[in-house]
Amino acid sequence: MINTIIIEDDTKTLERLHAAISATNDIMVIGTASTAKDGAALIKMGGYDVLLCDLGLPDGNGLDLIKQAAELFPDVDIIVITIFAEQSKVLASIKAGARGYLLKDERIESCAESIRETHAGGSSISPLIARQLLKQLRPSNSPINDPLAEPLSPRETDVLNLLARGFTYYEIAGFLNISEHTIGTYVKRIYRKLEVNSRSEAVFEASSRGIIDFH
Amino acid sequence: MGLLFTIPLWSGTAISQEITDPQHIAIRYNEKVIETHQLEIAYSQSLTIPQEGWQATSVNALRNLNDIRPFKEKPATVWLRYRFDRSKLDSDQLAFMMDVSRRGLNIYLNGVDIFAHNATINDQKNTWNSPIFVQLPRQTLLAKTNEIAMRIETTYSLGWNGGLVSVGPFETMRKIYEFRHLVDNIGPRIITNIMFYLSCAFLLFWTARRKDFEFLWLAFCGFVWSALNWHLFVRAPPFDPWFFENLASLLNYAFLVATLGFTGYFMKLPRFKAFILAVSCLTSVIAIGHFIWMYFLGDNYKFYMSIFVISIAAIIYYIIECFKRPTLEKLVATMAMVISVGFSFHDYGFLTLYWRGTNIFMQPYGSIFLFSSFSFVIGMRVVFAFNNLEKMNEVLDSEVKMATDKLLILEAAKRSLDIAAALENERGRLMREIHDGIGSNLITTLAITKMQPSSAAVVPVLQRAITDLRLAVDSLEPIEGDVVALLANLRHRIEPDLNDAGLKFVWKVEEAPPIEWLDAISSLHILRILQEAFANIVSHANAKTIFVSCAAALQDGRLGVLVIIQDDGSGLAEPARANGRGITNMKTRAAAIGGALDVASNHLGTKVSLWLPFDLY
Repeated sequence: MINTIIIEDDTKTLERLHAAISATNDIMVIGTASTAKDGAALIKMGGYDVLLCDLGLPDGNGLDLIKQAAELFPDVDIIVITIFAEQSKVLASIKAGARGYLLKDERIESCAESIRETHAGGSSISPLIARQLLKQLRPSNSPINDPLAEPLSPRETDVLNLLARGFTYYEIAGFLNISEHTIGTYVKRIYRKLEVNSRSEAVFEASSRGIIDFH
Repeated sequence: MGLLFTIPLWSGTAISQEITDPQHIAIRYNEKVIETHQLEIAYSQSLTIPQEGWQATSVNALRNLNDIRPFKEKPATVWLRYRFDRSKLDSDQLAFMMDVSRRGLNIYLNGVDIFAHNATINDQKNTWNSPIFVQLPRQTLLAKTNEIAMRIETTYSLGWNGGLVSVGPFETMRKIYEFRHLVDNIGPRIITNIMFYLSCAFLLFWTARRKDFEFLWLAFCGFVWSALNWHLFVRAPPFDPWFFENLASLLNYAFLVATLGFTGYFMKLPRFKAFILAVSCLTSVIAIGHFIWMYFLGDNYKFYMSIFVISIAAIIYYIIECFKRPTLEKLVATMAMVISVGFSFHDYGFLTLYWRGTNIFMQPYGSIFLFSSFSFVIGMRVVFAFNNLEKMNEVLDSEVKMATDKLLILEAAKRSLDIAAALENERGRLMREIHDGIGSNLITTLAITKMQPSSAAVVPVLQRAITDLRLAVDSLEPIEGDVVALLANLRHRIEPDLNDAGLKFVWKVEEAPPIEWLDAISSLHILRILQEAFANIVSHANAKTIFVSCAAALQDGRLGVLVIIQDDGSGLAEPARANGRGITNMKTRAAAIGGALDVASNHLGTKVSLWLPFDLY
């Protein structure tokens, strides 16, 4: 059983998500919140495997909640709910700790599929995100003198390249002779690298500005 | 260097040897001249040549004739005489010359008074260091032995100096006289004036640059050296001659302090202040002792030995410093001290009759040489400083220019960042509006509508509205001219719907170089063209597969990106094949962004080709 909590301020969307998830046998909604304040309290309680989180909350930013959850419970799979999946928002969410995104559209009912996929270790990705990840995680782009930075492996780079050109998991799996699921795990791993690198970049930046003193 | 020209002039003759040959015939300017070192002296107040009391003396003894030093107010008189053999000379026109002389002097030739140096006994207007030149009247000269007598008289408590006495042809003697006058009198006069005015200039420099004590020390040095040289040529002392003469003696101590002060400062002695303070104190004590001695007992040159002792100690100190860490300044200063002390020592020996040396007082020449060297060094420094300043100005100018350019670039960058931030801000606001407002509502409306079968006709409209909104949002994504990214994202957006409609993609998209001119507006045009193409396939084509390819390609000799969307459907209905409304729209859009659209259709399917050039006209 996958225990899920949902933080979403739009009641209609929340209802639809709730309904879609409740229809399954393997996923259960154990808590919902429609404000950042309630969301934070919900996150702190723990006991969930997946967090669905909207970014634009009336009293705060969903990114802060994602960050909080990722720090408290690193094993929780965080999925961002978004209407347009703009690359800036999705990238910021991944850097905060999200591992997938859910389009808030007429297909929202298929969210159970996304939750299962993400929980099983595979993440979804759009070509624009793949393109951005290629740019940001290219080895030459990692900050100098930063031993924490994790560059992409050649295989990951290949996968991202194909994703950025619009190929599907299914097609890429065929090209590289691996399973579709493996592509999902690659993507999830790449998301983690982005998060780790962005965190170490922040540390690097802070230390070079003298905010954090290592001595 | 100063020593180099000293050496050839140095006679090196011991004084005692000269006495053995009192009537020496010397060749001067190719003429015979009788030079006399041996005279007779008589201490007598007589107004005529005394008959008795004569005793032998030497010219050298006259150089500092302290015997006739009338201490304080007591006047003193002394007679000198000697004889020469006129027949040894070739000329009839003879002249007499004495190298150095001072005070009242009358000269008699064979008992006839032929020359008076002073109008009266109180007339002291002559220098002590000038030679005397007197023509010997032909009618008074005797054929063989002639006698020259001199009456020396002074009221002052000063000694009398005499020098080498010689008789020879008039023209030759005048040449010798003029040479001596030049080196003893005119030379020091010129040198002293130069040094004095240069020192004034350095003092002015110092007032302008108070931190540069070098200028002050050099000015001080120059003033002291000028004052010291003054007595060599001054005709009338400006104040009491006794005091003037003793002041000249005491100036030697100031000379020591000034020279060590300047050289020490110039060579940057590590403990300069302590050094010059010690020298000043020691020298002052000795100078006071010397003054007391001369006030009660008359001058005593032996006091000068202390100056040499201090100088030599300083030179040794300088040399040690040179060895410790040699610098050009240290070497120059040490050399200057050696030359200065050497010349002073020469003059001291010359004055006190230990040797004749170059037969002139060297100190003025040494001082001008050193002063010029120092002035040159300092002048060069000033020149270097000016050059550096100019260079510095050039460097600063270029740096200012660079900084300004950089600032302009930064400002431009900041401005564009500001614009970008403002755009981003505005975009964010719009996106929030779209997200939370229109977007959310449309999706909710669609969901509700779907549940009511009576409103089925509204569903596709709503779906198209949502898709349009998505395209508009996607067109705003920064893709840096990457057409492939546009295509890929569009596929990502629409594939679920196409799959629902029973269509699948065959994706053959290659990476393509970026298109520089691709902005949000152009992106939206392209997205709409592609969307229209896909929509046509979904609604009219009865197709199963959509082939999408994208690659760099030449068209009409221009390089660009060619996007082809092809289906395996039944083709367009005949009238719509080329110029249907949708297709015209697509062509218009393509033309609007500088691209070209081509639609080909037959019963095997339709092929839409969109070509986008890299460079617009």
